[in-house]
Amino acid sequence: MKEKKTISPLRRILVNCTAQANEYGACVAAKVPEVERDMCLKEFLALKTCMQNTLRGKV
Amino acid sequence: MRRFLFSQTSCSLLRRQRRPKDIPHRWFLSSASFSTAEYDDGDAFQSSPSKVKIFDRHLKRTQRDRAAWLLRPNDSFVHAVAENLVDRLEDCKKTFPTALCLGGSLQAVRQMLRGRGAIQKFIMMDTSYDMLKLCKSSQLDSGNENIETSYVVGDEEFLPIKESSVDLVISCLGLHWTNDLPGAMIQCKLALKPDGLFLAAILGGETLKELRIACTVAQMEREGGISPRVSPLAQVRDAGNLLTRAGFALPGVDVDEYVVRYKSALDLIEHLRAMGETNALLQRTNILKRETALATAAIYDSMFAAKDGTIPATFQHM
Repeated sequence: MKEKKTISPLRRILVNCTAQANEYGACVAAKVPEVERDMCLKEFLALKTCMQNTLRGKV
Repeated sequence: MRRFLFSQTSCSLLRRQRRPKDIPHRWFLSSASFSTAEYDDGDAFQSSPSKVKIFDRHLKRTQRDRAAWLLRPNDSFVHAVAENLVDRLEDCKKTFPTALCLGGSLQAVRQMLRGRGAIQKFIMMDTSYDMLKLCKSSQLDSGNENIETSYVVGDEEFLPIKESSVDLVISCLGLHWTNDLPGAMIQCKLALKPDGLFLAAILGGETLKELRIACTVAQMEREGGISPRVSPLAQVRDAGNLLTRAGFALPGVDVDEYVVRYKSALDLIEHLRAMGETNALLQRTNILKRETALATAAIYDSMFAAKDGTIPATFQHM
């Protein structure tokens, strides 16, 4: 049993990068059902940089 | 919620229980082997000889062990399902002195029983030893001390129960992880006395369809391919066939859909983990890249979010 609530990194990322996540999600949602690989790459890269920043220590 | 309601009476209008003549009185001691590789019980049913292995039962057992620790004793979802299932006992006039409870959410079923059905002897069976230990330790404070309870570690596909020995079989959210659902049901039927009752709640085909969609879309966009993340679940229209194929008379199926709201996709996954319902397919890829998980969460939010920021998840019960 966890004694303290450890916040998993993924949750921290989602909390910090809500804006980028929303943009990425909107991009994909608009293009469903024809989904191709790397179709929303630009938005995803923004999300990824935000994720790396969060993990590196909230730069 | 759809439950299988089976009541086999001795009325001549209904199909009688056909007993294959070549089955001896088998008495399995609690089986320690969980592999479905050697299954020589071919005379119980004459279906296709190839055993289809969809789920990894060893992993399922580990997940159930973990769920035994993680599941809060008052989980409202599991309790709602169990309550609905046990309610069905009140629809039947007869009493059930002996009952067998198959894995899934044992504790919830026992808590919801509260004397319904006049059960005197209760056998709880689960593949996970930890889950049974938990049930045992909470038996004292559940107020059911006058019911003689015994605990068996066993696999639902290899029921270690003597034939025609129980009046009632309950399975709450356990059977959708069996590799061979018709076979498991047939074994349950064999264990039942004539005029016994079989009640089960399994997840149906619409369950978690949002999660399924979000996972597929995210994986296709990030990686270009898809691997199965949500297990195949029985369709509503097949449920009746399953019952009749197992040989039950008076089959009855109901469907219920619960839409549960979570604050984020992560909460949903944590809840699934706590219930022991995480992925156990044999075909799964063990790797979930962090980016794909992130993409899934983002897509789930954007595609299905309600106005107050929570995300819905559908659970369909049969």
